[in-house]
Amino acid sequence: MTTAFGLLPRLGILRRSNRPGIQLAVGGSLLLFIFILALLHRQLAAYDPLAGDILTRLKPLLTPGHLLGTDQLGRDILSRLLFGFPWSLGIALAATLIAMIVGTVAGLWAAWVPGWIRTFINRSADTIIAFPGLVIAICVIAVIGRGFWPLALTLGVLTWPFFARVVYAEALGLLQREYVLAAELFGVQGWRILIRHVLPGLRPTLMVMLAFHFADMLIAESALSFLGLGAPIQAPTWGNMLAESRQYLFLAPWMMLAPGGVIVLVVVTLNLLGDGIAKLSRDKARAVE
Amino acid sequence: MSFDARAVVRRIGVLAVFLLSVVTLLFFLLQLTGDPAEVMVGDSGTPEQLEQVRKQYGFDRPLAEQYVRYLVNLAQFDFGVSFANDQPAFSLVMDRVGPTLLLTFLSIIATLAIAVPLGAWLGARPDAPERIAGGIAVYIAQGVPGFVAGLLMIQLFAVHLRWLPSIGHEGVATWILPTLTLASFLAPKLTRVVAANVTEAMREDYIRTARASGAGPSGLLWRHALPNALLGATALVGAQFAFLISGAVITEVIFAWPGLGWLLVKATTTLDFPVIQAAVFVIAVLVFAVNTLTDVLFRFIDPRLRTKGI
Amino acid sequence: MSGEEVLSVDDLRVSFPARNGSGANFNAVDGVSLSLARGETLGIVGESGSGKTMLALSAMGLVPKPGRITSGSITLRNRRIDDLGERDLCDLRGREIGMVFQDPMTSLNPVRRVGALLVEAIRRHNKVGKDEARCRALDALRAVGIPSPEARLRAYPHELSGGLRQRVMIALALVNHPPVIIADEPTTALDTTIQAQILGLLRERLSDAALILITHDLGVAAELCDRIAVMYYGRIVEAGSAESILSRPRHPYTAGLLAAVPNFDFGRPTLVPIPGAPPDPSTPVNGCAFQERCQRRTPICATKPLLREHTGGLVACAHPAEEETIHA
Repeated sequence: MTTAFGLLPRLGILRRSNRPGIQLAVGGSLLLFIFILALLHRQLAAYDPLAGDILTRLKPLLTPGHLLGTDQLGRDILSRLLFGFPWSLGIALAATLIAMIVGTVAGLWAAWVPGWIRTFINRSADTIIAFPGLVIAICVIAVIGRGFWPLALTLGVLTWPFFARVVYAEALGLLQREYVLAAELFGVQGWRILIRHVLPGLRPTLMVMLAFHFADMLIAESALSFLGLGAPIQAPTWGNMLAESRQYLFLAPWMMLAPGGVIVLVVVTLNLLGDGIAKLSRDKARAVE
Repeated sequence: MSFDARAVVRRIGVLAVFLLSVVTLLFFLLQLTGDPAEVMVGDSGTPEQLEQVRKQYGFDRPLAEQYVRYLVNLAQFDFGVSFANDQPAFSLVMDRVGPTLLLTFLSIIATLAIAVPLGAWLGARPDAPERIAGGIAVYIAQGVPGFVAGLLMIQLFAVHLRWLPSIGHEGVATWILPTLTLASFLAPKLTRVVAANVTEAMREDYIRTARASGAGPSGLLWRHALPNALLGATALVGAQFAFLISGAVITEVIFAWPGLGWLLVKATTTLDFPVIQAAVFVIAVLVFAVNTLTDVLFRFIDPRLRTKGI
Repeated sequence: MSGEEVLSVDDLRVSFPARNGSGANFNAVDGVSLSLARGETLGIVGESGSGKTMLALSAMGLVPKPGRITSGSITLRNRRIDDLGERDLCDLRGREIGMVFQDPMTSLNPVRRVGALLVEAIRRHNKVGKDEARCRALDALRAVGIPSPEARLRAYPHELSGGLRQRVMIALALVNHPPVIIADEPTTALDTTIQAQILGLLRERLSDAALILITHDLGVAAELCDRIAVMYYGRIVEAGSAESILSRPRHPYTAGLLAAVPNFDFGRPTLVPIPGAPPDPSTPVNGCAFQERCQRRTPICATKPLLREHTGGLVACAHPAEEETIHA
């Protein structure tokens, strides 16, 4: 109802600056860059990310041999940053995939089965979304402990409703389409209809959500690490690096720049991709009409 | 505005289910730790102490009985005493509600004060070069997590310029950085929504009508386009309150702000379960209350919805 | 034509860049001239896309971007207005020239009270206090026959019926008593009975102002107008007194429009829709724009016909209907 009144930005107004091409091109090349860094982090890092050297403590940016400086233990920040890629991106990606799988299954299920299952799934999703996720994540991590999988599982399980809600709404629409109804008439089994006919229709939406959710999960992961409730304390995740930099804001202000900057880079990249894909599929949908 | 008794009852029902699921989650979370008594006594505890704590808190009873007792206690706002300092957890938590609400309130004001004029300016003529540049800046700002923004602001205002204190909760000067930090969680997004809504509203037929009766550019923007654009913005702020509380937790930790979030994070490091349970419970009630309030407020602001019931 | 001339449009062209990005332009209004005397009512009739609304908007200085006036002039009460800046135009709009828009549902701001819209319009052009403005707003609502105007001042547009909304729209356009009013399809969105009321209201309220009535409905134009101009593909193809246009259409397009209006169908046995569709305004046409749909088409139609005097009216057609063929 709100959308119909034009309260939220109405979709489908195309201006020059709104063309998806630029966003996708910039976002895509940045993603490629990030992907290469993540793949080659071992080769690119000059130092052991965990090995400190008391003689090179708190060296500033552009110190010879330490492009991004060193931290309070004399560890090379660039090397830690590079080794942070598999950690930070890995946790965020795992959490996103868990949320997507659980959310998609729940959303499809709710769309397929009317009655109490649908009510239950939708109500649970609403309840979880209404609650500040970080608060629950803090409590859960505090109990089950830090680490890659505890973090990925907690974030994934806590955020499935974001996928479920969208998948439910879209799947409900797709199930009304003629070709799906026809498949049903021909006696195709339920789960086959969902997988063969409904799931492909969800692909553009899921891709957009994947990009945005990935960004959200990266922020959530670094926030939890920042609060001391994320990755193991030694792990070179970007959130941990930021948490350490907090103690040295006055002494070593450069310590926060690298991890902060790389988080922003990844999040902006994912936002660009998400927006670009969203606009692209919208344009396509309009072209079909 | 009509007041529908059934709608009120339904809301209370939703709240009850909501709270029950939260406290149940917390109860089983405590069980997940293995032996709660061990958590309470700590590593240094002797077997005798352990046994005593188990008896005292009823951890030796069957799980179902413990759960029922837990619920009965909660119904009387009895969360037990803090492991850390033996004070009642609920009153510890209630003392922290004020500062958190203050921080959230201030930051909502700051968010609106930044996002509404900026969004209106960006949205009024979206193709002007300086506005495209502004739009790109806001787009990047949207990718900056709030706690990174907070650290950057400490760097700038406390370390380099030495204008503002970076920590604490005494005096208005210490409020500024936390407020701006929490505002940075939502302001860029809200700016983009306001800008998009203003751009959208500027294309509407009623803007043409206003121009036809002589309204100038500023009147068009502030009196005709913005009121419509702000309806969407209100909805966004209301819907994002839970997110704002998450942000408040981080902000409070960064600035040692004595609110619910800081208390909660401290409590989790010692697994001080009574405090954790009380804090989460209070946050849940708070979020629910604000969501309900924004629903009502939204109906009040939008004249098209005003005629309908709650 | 009698009385002083209040509005004149001379050889006006309004261009838009073509949508395919080729950099070419097309003319939504293509060389239109007309004049309007005090107290006169001029109907501009055409299908959607004929450029009639764009013509009206250019007279208001409201041509939507990226369109612009590329040639010609508009003179409002002896003052050229087509080259005025936005600030000067704002001073004119509502005071010298007012406009009634088509759809009162979308044309009235949904979150502003009727009174606020009227008071703002009054205070925009008059140095009066809020109370005085409110009194004038009440008068304006009374003048358009809105019952219990005090209550309506506090109403939001969605709380009013379609007919009332259009009355509010008219009140808003007339509140500062502009000498020229443009009404763009003022009754299209309304029920038939309400249509008649609104047309009656316009006729009654406009005895001293000049009105341009834009409509696709020749019947509506016939009811209200002294003169009628028929537009097709951004051009005026026929103009003349309402009576002569209705009784003796010279242009085959006008004849076709008339044949499609049931009320004026006395002489003809059946309703005859015009075959085909009007050309897309953004595609260039050589010669007469109507030739594709025209039964009188000959090779000469490949040259663009000019508007010329013919049997007491103006027509842009190589084969205008002659006196005899009409009566035959």
